[in-house]
Amino acid sequence: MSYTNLINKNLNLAFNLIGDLSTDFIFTKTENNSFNFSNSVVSSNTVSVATKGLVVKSEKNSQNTNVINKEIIVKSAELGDIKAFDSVSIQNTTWKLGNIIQDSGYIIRINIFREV
Amino acid sequence: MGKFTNLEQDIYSVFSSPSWIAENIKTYPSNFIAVNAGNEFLKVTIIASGSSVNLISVSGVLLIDIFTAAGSSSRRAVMIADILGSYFEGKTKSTASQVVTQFGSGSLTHIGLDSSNPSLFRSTYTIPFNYFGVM
Repeated sequence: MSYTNLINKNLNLAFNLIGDLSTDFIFTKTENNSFNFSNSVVSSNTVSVATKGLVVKSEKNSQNTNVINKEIIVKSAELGDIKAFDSVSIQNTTWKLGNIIQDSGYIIRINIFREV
Repeated sequence: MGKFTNLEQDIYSVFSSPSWIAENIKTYPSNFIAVNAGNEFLKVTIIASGSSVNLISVSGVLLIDIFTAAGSSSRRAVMIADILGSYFEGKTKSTASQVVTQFGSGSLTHIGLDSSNPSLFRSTYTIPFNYFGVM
């Protein structure tokens, strides 16, 4: 077995071991979009990818009082390029993707945020 | 509708025309994040901040960023600027009654590699306009 597969296998094991501490995430990305200049309508096709991850931090920024942030960890093997995604849904609430804190190639730590 | 909406419609009418669509140059408005835009596209920004002859008129500049592939010379950007010129320079557009947008002479500036995507070369085509409304 390659080292990559070994790491991914153990990551799956770790995410299974944390049980209900993990959270269901649905990431959404826009695959195609266009703008119609005759009626100023934006149209787009979106694709969703469901995965499990972990919320490691929730905070409310004191400077931006109307924004709340979370820091989450997800497996990169299930998502691919995280920068392609626009938003993530957690328990039917949509969050925007913020800064990528760490992308090791195996796990991704990323900030997500939404308006209160 | 208001002067800014009418002005935008006058300008956007060019990009929705069959002849412009036949040019096959991807065109997007400002504040639009295009997915799969490729390495040749335009971004249209209307700056309507100039003086005017009355309360329902305005002047300003139409600014069109021309993105082309980096490292492929400025030739394609120049060609696109000429194409834009054929649609705007000295032309008059009117999509609503008792209003008209007149365009002047365009100019082209080569900005250089795009700061957020260095695989693209950015040139900016600008053309002044006057939007007149009858009170």
